[in-house]
Amino acid sequence: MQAYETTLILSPILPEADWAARVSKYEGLITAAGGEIKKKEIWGIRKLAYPIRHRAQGYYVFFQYQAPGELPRELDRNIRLDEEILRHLTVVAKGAPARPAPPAPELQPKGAE
Amino acid sequence: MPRRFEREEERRSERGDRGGRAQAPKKNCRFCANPFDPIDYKNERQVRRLVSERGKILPRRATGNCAKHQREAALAVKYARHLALLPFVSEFHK
Repeated sequence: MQAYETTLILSPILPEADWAARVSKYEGLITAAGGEIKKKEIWGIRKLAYPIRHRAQGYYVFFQYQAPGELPRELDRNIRLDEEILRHLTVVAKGAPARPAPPAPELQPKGAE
Repeated sequence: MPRRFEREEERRSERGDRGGRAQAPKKNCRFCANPFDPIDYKNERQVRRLVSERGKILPRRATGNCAKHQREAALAVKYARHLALLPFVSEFHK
């Protein structure tokens, strides 16, 4: 199992139900392959930095998940078949290092000796 | 009357000048200094600071990044461009 993250940019002109349908479809693909979704973020409609297929905006969806190594290829194949997805990107998720716990309070007052 | 120096070195040391090209101040890598805020292609505000006004990736001499983080930074910019979070060429310069 490997940690991945995938961002999808869906066409902004779809009815809301179609966005939801696609989100659950790709979620389903991940879990069906034995993956486990860690984080799901719907960024919603955002302005694109440059037009993609003559669209100035996109509906962004972001997933972070654990999945077997064969999944990204399969997911990619499915995404490519979907004409309403303007762009997608899957990368290996690089976990942020955990912030260390704040140091334990000093028991001995400084300069006690 | 201006002071005369016997040797060039003497004149330079008087002015605190070691000769040669001016050295840029030593910068420290921002990402080494703060390991709990790693480079993230999704963080648009952060990635924007890694490119010039034109949208070009800033060189290490401008960002002060270490080699390791500069590689990560360049990759993050490329991911962000792919996702249309950053322009390949900024609108103004088209």
